[in-house]
Amino acid sequence: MDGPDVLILVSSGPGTPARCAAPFHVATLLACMDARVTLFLTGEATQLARAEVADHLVPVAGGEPVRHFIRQAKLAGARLLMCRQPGVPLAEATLIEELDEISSGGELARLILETDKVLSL
Amino acid sequence: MNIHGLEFPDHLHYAPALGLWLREEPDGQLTLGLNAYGCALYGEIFAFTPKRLGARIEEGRSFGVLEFAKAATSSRCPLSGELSGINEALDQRPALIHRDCYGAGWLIRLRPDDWPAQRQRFSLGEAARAALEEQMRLDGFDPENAAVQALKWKS
Repeated sequence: MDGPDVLILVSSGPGTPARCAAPFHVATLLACMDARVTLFLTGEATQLARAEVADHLVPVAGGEPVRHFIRQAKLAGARLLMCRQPGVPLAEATLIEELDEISSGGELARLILETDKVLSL
Repeated sequence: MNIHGLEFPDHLHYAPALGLWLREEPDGQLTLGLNAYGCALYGEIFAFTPKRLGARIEEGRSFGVLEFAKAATSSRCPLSGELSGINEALDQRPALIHRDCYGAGWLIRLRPDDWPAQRQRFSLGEAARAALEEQMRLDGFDPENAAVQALKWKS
């Protein structure tokens, strides 16, 4: 991929299911245009990295679960990171296999400064 | 030429792995479109968004995005060149890709870097049969149920 670097900050989670497909679909489209895409799950969106949430949370009634959109983004070449939340225990065995890295707020700050374009969805 | 019920006109060149056809135009440009196998794989296409006119496209890189049921995919360019034409009719009527994939549903025009040297890589008509059949075999294509197969293939 030789396009620009794009960072998508994902902050929507189970509280707003209807907003949970767009970040991954946009990531898929951008990656299909040769952008180097990183999805970064923060705040409530970190819940989407849990298999039981990703497999069952459905953005549109009758549609596919969030996991489907995550897989599409990964297939297109996007990278998926999540923010480790201080003080919140993390059972790594419960996380989806599509996750590339558990990262930090500091890493997020560095990515924002170094990335060509940053979207918040 | 007909393969598993899918039509492949004899006057076109083919890029089997990418599901594309290519046609040499009198002015040296190439017209590219999705061939019948590409259409069968993807199912109904809801949108095609090409890169900007004039964009430099390297071989193997994306010249646009195809959106279809539940997914999207890159349209990869089979050879390097400049994107010299886009089919604006597809903005409003993406269904043309399916309805007339070898005519009004063409995708882009490309000004190739060196078509004379590249031409031999893209078999013409009947000469592409073996490569097309092999690609279908590799993809596990089920000609009896193309629409369902397309969903399985992409999921």
